[in-house]
Amino acid sequence: MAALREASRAVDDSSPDRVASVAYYAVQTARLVAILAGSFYIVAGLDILFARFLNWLGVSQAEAVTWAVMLGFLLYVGIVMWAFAAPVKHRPASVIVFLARVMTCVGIMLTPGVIS
Amino acid sequence: MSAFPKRDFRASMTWLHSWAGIIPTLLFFAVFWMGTLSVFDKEIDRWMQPESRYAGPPIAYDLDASIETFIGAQNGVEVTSLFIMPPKPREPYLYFYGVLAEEVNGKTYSYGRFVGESNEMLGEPQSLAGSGFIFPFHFKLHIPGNFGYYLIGAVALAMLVLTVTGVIAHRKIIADFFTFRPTRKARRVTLDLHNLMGVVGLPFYFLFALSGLYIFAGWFAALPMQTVDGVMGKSPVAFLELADSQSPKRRPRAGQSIAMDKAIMPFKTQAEALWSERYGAPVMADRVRIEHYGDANATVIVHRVFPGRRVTMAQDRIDFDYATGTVLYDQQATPATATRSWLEGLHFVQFEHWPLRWLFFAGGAAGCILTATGALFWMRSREKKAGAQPFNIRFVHAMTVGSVTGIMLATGVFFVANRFIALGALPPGIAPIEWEPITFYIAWLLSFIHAAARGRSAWMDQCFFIAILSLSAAVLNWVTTGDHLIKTMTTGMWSIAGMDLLLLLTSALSAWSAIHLRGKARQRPFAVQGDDPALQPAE
Repeated sequence: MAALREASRAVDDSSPDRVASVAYYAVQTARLVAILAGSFYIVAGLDILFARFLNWLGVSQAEAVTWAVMLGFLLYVGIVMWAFAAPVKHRPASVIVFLARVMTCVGIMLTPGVIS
Repeated sequence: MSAFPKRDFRASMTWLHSWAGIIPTLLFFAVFWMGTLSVFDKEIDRWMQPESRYAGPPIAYDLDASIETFIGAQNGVEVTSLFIMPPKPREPYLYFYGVLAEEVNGKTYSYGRFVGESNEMLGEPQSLAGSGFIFPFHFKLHIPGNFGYYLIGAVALAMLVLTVTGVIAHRKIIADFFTFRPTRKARRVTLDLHNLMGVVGLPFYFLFALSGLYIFAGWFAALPMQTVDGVMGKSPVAFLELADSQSPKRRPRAGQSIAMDKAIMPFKTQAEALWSERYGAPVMADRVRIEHYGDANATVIVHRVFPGRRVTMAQDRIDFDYATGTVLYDQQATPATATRSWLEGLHFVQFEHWPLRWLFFAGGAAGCILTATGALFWMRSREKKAGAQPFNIRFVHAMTVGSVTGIMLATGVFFVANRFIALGALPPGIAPIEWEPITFYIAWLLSFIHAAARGRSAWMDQCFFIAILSLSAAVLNWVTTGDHLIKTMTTGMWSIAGMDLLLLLTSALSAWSAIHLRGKARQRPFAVQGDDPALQPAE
């Protein structure tokens, strides 16, 4: 418990001289992976909206999807940076992770065969 | 005091840069290393497949005679489709890949290569070499299924984030470019080198991460897009289908046999003439496909994918009906595919432009140094305070050594194994083509175990092994093929000469590093279990 408490207290400490516990590294890793993956799902949602918008404007479906995906990867960097730079009290990371989790679970249930 | 202290934007980005960098370090180096080698994948092929070496002028090949020879070599087994690549400067042979109607020796495909001016066909290569092992390792790590693609996709996303956050974290981007102090303490030198390599190759890293993502966008983006679209209550977007929806649907087989007695070469010539007129310059096709070979619906598809000295990949494709000769489909790039083709061409590095190719090689090598120095700085910063190495530092140390010098060592073993296999020095039971990857993975695994056991001395040991292996590979090439450096340089076999020269350079640099590390090891602040006692600092 003490290690976990230390890990949660040190969650924002990026000092290079720090020698922390294994729990600290585990928490940092989980946090990073969750935000990187969660942000990818946010981008995927925006990609679809953008592709549908372009398609509505008259761009062919294939072109619209290609443009949306190309833009999406650039957008991704911005979203990840925003997730880390937002004020701590309003940290959006937990929201992103929560949304990603819901989207993944519900999405997979609604789209059988996606994983395969 | 709050458990979550306030941080400014730069501190947040530094955190992100540190953690997004350190977690995938092992994969970063592997991807950079194999990607750097893949810049010269065809040259590695020539070195590892000596039967395909050819130093003469461009080959005047007979496409139709070769098709006849290839079909005849299948011993009556029906070929349903053919894929042909005409010779190019870096691939001096006519390449055939045929899909068979039935299984022969456990395979439903057949390879053929016509090297030199003779119409004699070489069989299947006995080595996966650069194109078959090193290049696919770069983007999927040879992990079965799709997991390798997703893993490397995640690494590429992290790389994108790292390049942007690195600029913010290190701030003094111009000063860093001119700051390298080799005489300062090891930790300072490591950071200087990390910053320098980061600044020098910044556009290269960003564009390569981005273009790598675009190449496999179908894999990386399909899953989240499909699940998100499912949540939105729509039917799932079949992303791959959409991306390919510009291509014509494949014609079905008619089920009626026809004689394939009409020449294929005129189709290729017609397509080249059409493109040359369209672009106002001579254009050469680099792929010919024959779908439904021997069927009434046989289709000849002529492609131009890698257009000579241009970086942008071409989207030129013309489909002909074999029986009537009519054009079924004429593809031209749309704005989105043209943009994507530039990014993909940049990443595939298949253009015939040697200075740019070497520049990309240097960029890849800089990426290797960037990754290794980043991990080293992170580790040294913690070692300094630790006093004794805790488990996590020792673990990261072993992973870093194994992923940096370990993979280089395993690659050396891969090359040496190739030359031993050529000598026929093989244990029975495993096919020759499978031996090289097996030796690679065993050597790589052993390098991690060695790093864990030897502590910091592992760097020195492994540099020494790399030096021996690189030198042995160059010497073994001479012994097993007779193609020594003077011969290859005087006969114009520059792919072989270049490979040998790089092996000798690697050997020299590794030997120098090993000697340098031995000297440095005497000054280190603490020892770890397994270190060479002779290298302990004097009290």
